[in-house]
Amino acid sequence: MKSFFFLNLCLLLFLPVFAQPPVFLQSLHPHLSYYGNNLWNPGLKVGLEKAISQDKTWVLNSDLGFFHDPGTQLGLFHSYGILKRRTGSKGFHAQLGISPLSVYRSFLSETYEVSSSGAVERVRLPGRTYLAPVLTGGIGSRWQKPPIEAWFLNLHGMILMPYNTFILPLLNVEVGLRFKSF
Amino acid sequence: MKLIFFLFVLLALLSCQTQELGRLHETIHVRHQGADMPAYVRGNASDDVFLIVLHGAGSFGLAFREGVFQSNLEQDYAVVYWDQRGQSMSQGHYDKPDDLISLMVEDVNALVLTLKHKYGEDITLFLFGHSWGGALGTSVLLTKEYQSNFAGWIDLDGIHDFPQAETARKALMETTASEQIALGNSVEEWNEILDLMATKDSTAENYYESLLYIAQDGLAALRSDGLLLPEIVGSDLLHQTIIANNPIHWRVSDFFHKPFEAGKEIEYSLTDQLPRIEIPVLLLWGKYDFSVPPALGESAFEWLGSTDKQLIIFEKSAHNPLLSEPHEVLPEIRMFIERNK
Repeated sequence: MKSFFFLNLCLLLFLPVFAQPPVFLQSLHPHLSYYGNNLWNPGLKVGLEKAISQDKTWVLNSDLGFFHDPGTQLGLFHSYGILKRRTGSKGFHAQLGISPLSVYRSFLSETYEVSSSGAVERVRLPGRTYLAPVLTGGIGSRWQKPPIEAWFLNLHGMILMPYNTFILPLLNVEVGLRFKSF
Repeated sequence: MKLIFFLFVLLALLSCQTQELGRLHETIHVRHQGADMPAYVRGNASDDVFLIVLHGAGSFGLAFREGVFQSNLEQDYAVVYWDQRGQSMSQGHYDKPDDLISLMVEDVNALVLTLKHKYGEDITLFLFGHSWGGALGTSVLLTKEYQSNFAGWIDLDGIHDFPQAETARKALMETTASEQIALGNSVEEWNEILDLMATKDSTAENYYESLLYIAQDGLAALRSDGLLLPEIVGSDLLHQTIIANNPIHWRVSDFFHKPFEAGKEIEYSLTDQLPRIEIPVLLLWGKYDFSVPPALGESAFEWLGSTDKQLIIFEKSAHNPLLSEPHEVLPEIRMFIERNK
């Protein structure tokens, strides 16, 4: 999982430096967005998507993002999914998607672990890793202002699992821009 | 040039800020038995006096960081607002324990060990518990040698005896109804309450909830007759609930984690063990607390082994005197801490 995560991160960060990206990358569309957990815990998300059907209604996507809950944690997530996008004649679109292959890592403040013997030790890189499947619904519209291709507004239901003794649903809002392919 | 001037002014302003010595505003997590539990340490630690807050069922640590706690107690003491296992912003993953209450007792001890590790072995600790937090705090004091960690125990409407709470609730509602009818206060409402109570089967599984539901009408009647002060939800509490806390985490966690239900299920009762508590105790109760009636405070006062114990009933409060009579509750807490720190 870590190498997968690293490869995607490299792809997202270094793609722009290629003057002439490889052919397989030329059909990828990057996107960048504000990503708010409960709207007000601020975050950012970057990602790539690729249409896999002739009519471009089925799209594979991969995202990397974070949000900051100032009280307690920083959440970093990475996801792979598929979405169905319907685009109207005037360029408006609506989409529904699912990202079953997703992982979330919380980063907590100063943490001390207490063992059963009562020994106290500070934890390095405190936090927890959860599976985090995401359901997405959203709307958007074409925006012909190169390199921007469209804007979008998505609502995400992310489920952290296993969380405590069961699960924790998170409601996240995303507003962003999709760009033309490389 | 303008930019340099702006940066200079900014630096000058920043250099004017001072950090008060001993003031703490830290969030630390305690990792214990699969749970990462946040402790929000706020206030003045210059005297090394720390007050650990054990919240009630379905609540969260920062819910107490409003009004008098923030504006007053934090001025002289460090207050540790703690989210218990499975509540609010606590996270982690672990199986449902067989004995949840014992595990949560060990969690409190883990918090104590962490505070001592971070702030020094010689810090003075007070334990404060509200409602379910009263049951948890009492359990802590009755476990192993944990009682010796604390200079005092403040029990605010705490439920240390679930079966007694149920019988006392019915009795308090009936007594209050009779008194109010005799006084001519909201007679129609109280008669309706008595009629409704008579329809409930006391052996039914949901008898506890059904009485609490009826009790809301009683509280409304008392408020309308000016016998009960409203529980003021100020902007501090709203801030702590919505911004400092994550309301979705709070509500969802509460749905899956119910220590109160665990206590109810096993008919958790600590009354006959109370003589083993010998540290100073302050019992604070609302006169019209239909959730955890003052009869529990009275029996605790009678059974506690402490020589320094005090029971104070707040005449115009129900289950949350800190919200209804904060300026009456506060001096009692301060005096208790000052006397025993």
